[in-house]
Amino acid sequence: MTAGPSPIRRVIAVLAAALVAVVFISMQSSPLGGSVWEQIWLSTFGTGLGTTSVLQLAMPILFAGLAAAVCQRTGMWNIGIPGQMIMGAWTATWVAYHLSGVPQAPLVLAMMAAGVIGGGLWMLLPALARVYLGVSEIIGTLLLNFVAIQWLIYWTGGPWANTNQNGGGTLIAKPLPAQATLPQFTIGSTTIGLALLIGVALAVVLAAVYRYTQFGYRSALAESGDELVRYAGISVWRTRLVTLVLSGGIAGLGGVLLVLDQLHVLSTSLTADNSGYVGIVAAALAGNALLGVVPSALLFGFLAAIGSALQIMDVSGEIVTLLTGLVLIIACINVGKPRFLARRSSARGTSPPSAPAPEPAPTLDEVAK
Amino acid sequence: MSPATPDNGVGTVPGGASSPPGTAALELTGIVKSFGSQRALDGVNFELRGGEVHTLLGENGAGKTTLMNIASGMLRADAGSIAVDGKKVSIPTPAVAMSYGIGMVHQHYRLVERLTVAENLAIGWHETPRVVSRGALVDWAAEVCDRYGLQVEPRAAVDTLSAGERQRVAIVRALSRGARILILDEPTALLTPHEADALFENVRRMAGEGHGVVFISHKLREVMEISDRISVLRGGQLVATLARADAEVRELARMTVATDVPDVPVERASKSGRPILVATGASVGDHDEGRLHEIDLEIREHEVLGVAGVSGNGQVQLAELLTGTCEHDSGTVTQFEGGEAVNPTKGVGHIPEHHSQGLALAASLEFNAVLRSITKPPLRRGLVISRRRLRTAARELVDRAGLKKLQVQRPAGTLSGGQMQRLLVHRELDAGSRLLVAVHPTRGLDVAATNHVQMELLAARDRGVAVVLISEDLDEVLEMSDRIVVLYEGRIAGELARPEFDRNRLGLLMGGAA
Amino acid sequence: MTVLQAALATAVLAGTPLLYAALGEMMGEKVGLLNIGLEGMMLMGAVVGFIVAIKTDSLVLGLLAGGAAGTVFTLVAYTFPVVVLRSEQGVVGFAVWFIGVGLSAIIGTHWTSRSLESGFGNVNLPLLDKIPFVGKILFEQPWPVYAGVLLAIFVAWGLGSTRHGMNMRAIGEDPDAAHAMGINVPFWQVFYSGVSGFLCGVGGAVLTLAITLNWNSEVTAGRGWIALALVIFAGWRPLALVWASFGFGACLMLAPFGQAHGWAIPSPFLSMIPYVFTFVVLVIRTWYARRSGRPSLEPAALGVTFVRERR
Repeated sequence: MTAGPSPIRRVIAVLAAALVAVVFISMQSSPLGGSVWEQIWLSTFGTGLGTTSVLQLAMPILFAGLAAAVCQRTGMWNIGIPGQMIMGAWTATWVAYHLSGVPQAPLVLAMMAAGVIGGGLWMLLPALARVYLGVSEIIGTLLLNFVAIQWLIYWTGGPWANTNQNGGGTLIAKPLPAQATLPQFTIGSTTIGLALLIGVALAVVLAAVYRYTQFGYRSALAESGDELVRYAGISVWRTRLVTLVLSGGIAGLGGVLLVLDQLHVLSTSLTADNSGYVGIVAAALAGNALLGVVPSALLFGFLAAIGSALQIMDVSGEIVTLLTGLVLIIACINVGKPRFLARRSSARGTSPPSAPAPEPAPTLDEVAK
Repeated sequence: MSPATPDNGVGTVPGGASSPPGTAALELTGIVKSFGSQRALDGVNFELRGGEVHTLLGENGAGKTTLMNIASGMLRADAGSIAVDGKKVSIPTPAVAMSYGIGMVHQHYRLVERLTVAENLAIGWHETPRVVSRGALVDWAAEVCDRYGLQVEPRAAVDTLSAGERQRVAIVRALSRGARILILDEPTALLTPHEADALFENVRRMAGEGHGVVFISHKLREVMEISDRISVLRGGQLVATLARADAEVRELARMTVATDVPDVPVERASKSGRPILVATGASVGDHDEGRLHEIDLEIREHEVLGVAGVSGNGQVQLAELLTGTCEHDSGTVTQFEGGEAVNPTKGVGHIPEHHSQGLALAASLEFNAVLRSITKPPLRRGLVISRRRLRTAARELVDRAGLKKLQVQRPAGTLSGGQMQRLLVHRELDAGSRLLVAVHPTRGLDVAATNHVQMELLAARDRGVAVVLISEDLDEVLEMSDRIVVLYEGRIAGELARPEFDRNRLGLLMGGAA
Repeated sequence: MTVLQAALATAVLAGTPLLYAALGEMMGEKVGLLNIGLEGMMLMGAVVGFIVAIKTDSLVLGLLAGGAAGTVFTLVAYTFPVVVLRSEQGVVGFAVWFIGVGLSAIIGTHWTSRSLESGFGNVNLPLLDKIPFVGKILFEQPWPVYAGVLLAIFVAWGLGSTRHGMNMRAIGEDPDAAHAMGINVPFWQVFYSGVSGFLCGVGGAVLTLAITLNWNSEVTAGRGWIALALVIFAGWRPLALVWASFGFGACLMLAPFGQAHGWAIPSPFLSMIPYVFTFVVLVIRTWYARRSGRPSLEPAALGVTFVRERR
């Protein structure tokens, strides 16, 4: 996945998904009166409020996308992002309950640190299993999501339950200290949370780390497969472990910031919009380029905003999940796989590869470039 | 249908359906095949008669295997026609080739490693009983092996077999499916001299029974021994087809290479260098396959040490031991520089057996070019890597490897095999300032490139680098080395200094017979 | 029937969707296809099976419709990109999950409030159900349970003792060699991904038609992922899948069982157990497999894209 989908392919993927969306949405009628399109426009970029909500929805996707991209750049998957977001938010909430008298800045910093630690530690278990035993991190990270969700249900419905509030199907914990919020900046009628800016800054820092340090190089080596790693005589298990835990930490941070920026309390609605999973798709669409995750996350934030607009109109918002899957599949479909990938796999087995391979035919990928 | 009873129609009687000797069993006319922009075959004609052994002779990359892959349905020709017994046919898949009685034994046999011999004989064959218990399958397979006089234990998993045994399985498999035309691709490449002798006997017997045999080889010696007729391919074109009686070794050699290539200078400096690496009783690995037992070895600067042996006798492990990329379980390995003990990975170059081991095929040329140097100054300073120096260094190396026209951002996997090898060799020549371990460094290269690489290796030796040349190609080892050790079943079976070099003795050592 | 027997009988039933899905995935993996999108495929089978069962008033038709939906969905969303276009299996599987979740939710939008009056009734196997203790657990079940077990036995026999089974294993081990031996690799990969889609669909339909009796968009609750883990846990052995599935069925039934019997453990912790247990078992299993050095039956070419040399 070093190169990722070509830019043309990415555009095609998004256009194709847009086409499906247009067809689907055109079949709906708005119960609020007026056209569906108008409603969508008003609840996204048409108004300051809409733009604000797009940016808000993009924020957790950005963090999840960064967490996923970091992992993919070492050739691994992290599908445990929702769980890590929950555990980050939970740890931070625990810290906030114990530091309720502390002023805003130190409290928020402590919560963010707690979030990174919580998310990172939650990833440690599958990370160790992957690095030391080779247990598939895809399955390992994913299974722990279900555990984290139950953990969240236990705390928000049990020891930390807010008995004064009835959230319908949503369980809500006791309120956080009042100063546990992040500043918002207002430009015109649009509000941008500091959380989103932190995410963009993080993307820049990570991109620099991967481009200019040995860590980035080792990750690229690890991504290239065990055979090359062994050949190069450089051990990458530490790189793998650090990457996985870092990825969990980023996701945990995303979870805290979602609480600080938008929810203002720990609740089971933390993972309601699937931002943890959508982030993985956002990263794939960006070809796991860390800076590319930023626009990609905004795109999916836009998509999510459309989804909630549809839901308000009593139309299934699940179309968004479907579209997200479509974008991924179209962006990453091969139109004629480069032959070298097949050759690499045949060389990996116990049998030696066949006679010197012929000059590979140019692929559509190359032609497209 | 009970598989255990002999006369149940499984397989065909050998020779029963063969073409009469002397007539054309297989005719390929005007075959053209391109891979991308490269033309691998350019209008080749080839004819095989029943009962003859017809050799396809040529350098690596001459198109021998490609031509026969077309005959056996593995590849499809761009142009040209195929006729079997005078009838024009189309062969889109291996299954169709089999139905015409064409069976190919590939260089690496194409057996399924983790299935048993019996299962490998049975898969994909419409005469295998649809339902068969394991016991009955074993009996059936034993009976099939018996019928063709080639003995292999049917219960054994293929990955436990020696190269010679695997080849027997592949041959039985082809014959039992009614092959009247048997194509053997570089059949002696992985065999010991003794196994090769046994193979030749079988080939003669099969020809005697009326089978047509295509024998693909680049080894003149064996070609003269086994063939009835010889066709020489060069650069995708047929140079000549001659009867063995009319062929002469020097003439054949001249035909396989386009131009006269200057011989590698074999001037021998008698500098007795200081030791670079000393291994004492070093053992690697905990199971039988790919184990090294108590290796005692001294590698000196200013010297090419040749390692001969049939592949799979510990070469891969030896390369990793010498380059410090695998741990030894017992014994000691000490590396020196200028008489001082140093870190085992310092100044070591390693040209690995396959490109894919040393190149990240999905990553850019740039990344691959600096794979070795990026962790060291001047590219790295502290934790930070200089992108500018990296770019310059990568471009410089890629140019030096003769790939001037290529963009460094291109994925390494889009290069041809020869281009990849050139990049690898040059990168490792740079890395190996002290010790250079080269495994099959010229495999897959054309004559000129082979020559170039050999010169570079000798130049490195003359600079004082200790060069370890691990190769299956006995001629290359004999030509290049100052000293030769032979690996057999993970042990050093013998060591010869240059004055003692002797092909027969090496052959015996390689086969574990001395 | 004692309380324990009843609980274990429920566990067997709860494990059956896992058994179908895992069997399907295992057959796909035997021909080299890794599909992590089981969850989406099960959901498609669950929703279509449920709707058809209500509309036609026939559980059998519902079950078959669920299988058909799984097949069509898998062929379009997974097989076409992977086998025909040779895309990376992991990414496509992930997308299949997403699309399955979204599509099934859209299809089932107006069906979440409906429920079936009755699911598959128990069929008591004569004589066998008289076996003390286990008889009531194993042999008083709806017929899809027996069918699943019989299917597992059939698959085990087919893989081990038929020519076709050998060919399948050859494809998963080394598609190039299989192709050279005249086996039509792409055809069988398409075929068995369709089979795995069918079985996942049936698994999903068994869930809605025999267990929950209603539909919601989270009805599978990670069962697809558990099934994926089960294949590894069972070491690619169909018969091991049977008891592994029933064991995990028992885990899945712990939360409702505990709640019903007023256990002191908070129910979220009981609900965690199947996932924790899957993870722990996977770790132990992998560790043990490494230590014992016994050859794994994992297909060597699993997840590797097969490219015929000609295009």
